[in-house]
Amino acid sequence: MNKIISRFLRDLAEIVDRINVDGRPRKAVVPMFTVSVILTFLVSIMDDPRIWLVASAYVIILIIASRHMLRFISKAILYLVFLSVIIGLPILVTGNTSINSIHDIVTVRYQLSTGLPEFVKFVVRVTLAPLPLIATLYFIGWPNLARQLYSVPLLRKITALTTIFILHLPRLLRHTLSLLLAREARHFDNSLKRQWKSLSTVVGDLIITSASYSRKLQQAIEARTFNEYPFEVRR
Amino acid sequence: MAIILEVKNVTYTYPGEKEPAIKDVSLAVSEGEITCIKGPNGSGKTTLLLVMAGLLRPEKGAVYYRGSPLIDQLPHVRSKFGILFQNPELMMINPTVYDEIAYGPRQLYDEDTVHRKVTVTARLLGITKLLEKSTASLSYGEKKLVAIASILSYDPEILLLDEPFSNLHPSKLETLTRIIINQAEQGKTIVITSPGESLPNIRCDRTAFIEDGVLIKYS
Repeated sequence: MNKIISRFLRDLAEIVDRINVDGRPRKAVVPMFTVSVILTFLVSIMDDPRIWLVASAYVIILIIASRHMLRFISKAILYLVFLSVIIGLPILVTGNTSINSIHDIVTVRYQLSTGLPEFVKFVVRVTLAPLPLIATLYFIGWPNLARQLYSVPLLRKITALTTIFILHLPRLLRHTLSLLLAREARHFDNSLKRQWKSLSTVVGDLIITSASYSRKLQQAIEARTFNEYPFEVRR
Repeated sequence: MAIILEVKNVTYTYPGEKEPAIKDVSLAVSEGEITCIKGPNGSGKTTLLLVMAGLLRPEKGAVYYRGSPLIDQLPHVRSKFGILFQNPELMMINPTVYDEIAYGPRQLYDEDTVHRKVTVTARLLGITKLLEKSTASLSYGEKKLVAIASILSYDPEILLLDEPFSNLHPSKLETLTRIIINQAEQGKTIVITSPGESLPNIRCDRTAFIEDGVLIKYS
């Protein structure tokens, strides 16, 4: 269990880092971002396989255009499939019947025959929906997108906050990983009880560390902010 | 020389802690001098530096900037202070190195002056080739140089440097030492904290030793 969580934290930190790393100016940032948002939106709300094909084709083109994206996008797909399978498991037995209350769970006529196709559709949709956006972000890099978003006055604040979040999230993820590894290093048996103990105690430490990190970050921002946050970058 | 920054009987306790991090500390920093604050890890050096910068409000005592309480003059005099945090990663809040260095000047000058300040500072620190890079892609040493560039770019009067030489590669250490000496020669007031006894090639005009939050020697 610890190994799976450690791997997940490491990969998530890498994914966020990779999105943020490339600052080389790129062309067509706004059209690409717009297309990716539209595709993400359409795949999320529609069950149409034609939309799925368009979204897949868009992602494949970006993979071909970028040399190192395949490994990165494969990891993202793997985690999206894993999470959507866990969330979607009940669909296997409920089919397309909507369940809105405890009463529905007891009285539902379980439809195993429709369950599997519905489950597959759900997994494909949940996995495919964010991929155009993730692939686009990887391709153009957050610094390039931020530069464009700053030109929209309404989006400046949220862009600045997202930048700080994207920059500092991998550090907190890696810190959590170190906490886990430090605990694991002193565990001489692999029992579930011990694993659970180390995982559950990390949460408390993480809350304290995050609070302390946020306070220091706030001081670092305050130290160079003379009147108010400028919300501006070079365009 | 005139006293620019004065700490008078300052005590500060972090929220939730019983013991104060610094106890009844008093020291005066003169204009154009290098003041070194030395002491072991956890002795209160960083807390003292944060109090001196007005980022922590002391529960007892006060900090005076040019004879008046610092707290009353903030945030107007914030640009007179340049604080380098021990962990330079905390200072990375902008998407690119250019924007990180431009963050301070952008609040004070027009865009042409900002551009000039950024390029001059980057050249001074030898980081011109990093300007278009994302701040997330830098090494620790590069982040330290970018962090110091981000404070030098708005030309503060007082530099408060928290363990600037910790965890640095020798080549970056040399650059940073050269920059600090250069700033001192230009008449900047510098306060440096250090966990060790000596600082590489830096002549301290005054030295304060702090232990368990208490100033044990100031000469």
